Amino acid sequence: MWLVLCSTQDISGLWAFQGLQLRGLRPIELVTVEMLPYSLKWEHTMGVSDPEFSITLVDGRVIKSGAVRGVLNRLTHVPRHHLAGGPDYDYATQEYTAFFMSWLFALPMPVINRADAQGLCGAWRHISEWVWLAGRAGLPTPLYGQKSTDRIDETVEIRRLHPVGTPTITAIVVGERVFGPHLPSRILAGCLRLAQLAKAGLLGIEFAASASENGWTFAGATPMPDLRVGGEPLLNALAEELF
Amino acid sequence: MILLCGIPTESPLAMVRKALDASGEHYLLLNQRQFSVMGIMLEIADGRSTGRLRVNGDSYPLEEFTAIFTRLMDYRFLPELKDQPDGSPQRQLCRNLLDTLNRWAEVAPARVVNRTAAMGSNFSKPFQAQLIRRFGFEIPETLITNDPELVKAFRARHQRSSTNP
Repeated sequence: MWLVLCSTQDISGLWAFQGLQLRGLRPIELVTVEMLPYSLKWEHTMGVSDPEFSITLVDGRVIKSGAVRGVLNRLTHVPRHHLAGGPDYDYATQEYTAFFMSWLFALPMPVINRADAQGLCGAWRHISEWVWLAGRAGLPTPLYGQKSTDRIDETVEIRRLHPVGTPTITAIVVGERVFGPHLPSRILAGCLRLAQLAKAGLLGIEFAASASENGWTFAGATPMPDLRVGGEPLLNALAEELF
Repeated sequence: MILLCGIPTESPLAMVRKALDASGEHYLLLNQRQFSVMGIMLEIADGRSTGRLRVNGDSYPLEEFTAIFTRLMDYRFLPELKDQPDGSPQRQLCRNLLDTLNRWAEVAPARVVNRTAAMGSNFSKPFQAQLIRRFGFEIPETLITNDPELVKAFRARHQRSSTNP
């Protein structure tokens, strides 16, 4: 079976689920983050044998890692609402998160994207790290500056490379292909290189519509892009990567 | 030059410092508790990080540091900030100082022990165990479940076992 893991709010993920199903990836199961806390049974093992897991969902479906042929993983967070109010909430949340990291990492390849220590569906990097990687990948980047005297509180506000409201264009890398707008060859190569450096099978890369470098200036990257940007060709590529 | 970051009396940092003293290595100690006399400025352009670190009026180019040993603790628990209200300038300065230091350490071309990203696996022992196993090490037989019967069967199979609720 193939798996699509996402939220019920993830329109893009649900769109991909339908599209992959139409492309012949069957059986394909949609498992949402909202249903996972109500799973009837979890079993996750490791040791001498390869890591495995089995989840019995509340609707009766059983997801066994050994039966999984490929995964589109768009889980961004661990469901915690069912733990709220408990005396051990903090501890339970930590343990639950640790468990999710582990079973997601145990998914057999291909997994797009695989769980990472920095994020459940691939690494969520700070913008300083993205702009550094983008520069190394050969993409035109703005100057990033940060000081100890900055007034910004990143617990409530995110740092940006461009002012709020700057129009951006998104390109999406899937494997060795780039989808979205038509890109100059140098930018195209930079996108592929950035995905390689980020070890991301799927990566959304934003560019600001600015005057520099032929109008393509790096603005950010995410393992959770809106897949619809890539349209049907992106779905074809996803299906090929997962098959 | 080597940069040491943290609380000087903390054992691992003290041991490293002692070893560096013994070997005559040139290092700078950044005592986290004295954050009010420090400042840092980081810039990243074309995949390269540059900037300056200021400590007690002395200024050092970030590019001069070839290694960083970082043992920074959560700034919220520093004794110097105990009586500071949320959002105070002192708290803000300390938070931004440590955040900028950490950001720099993530992208610096220096040898860093350890980068935050590399320590992320510490938050999930079973995830970390899978990484360890990939490098050829043996890991303990492990079961994570919400089924008591599976736990009983596991304990029956393995005479020596520990349980983490």
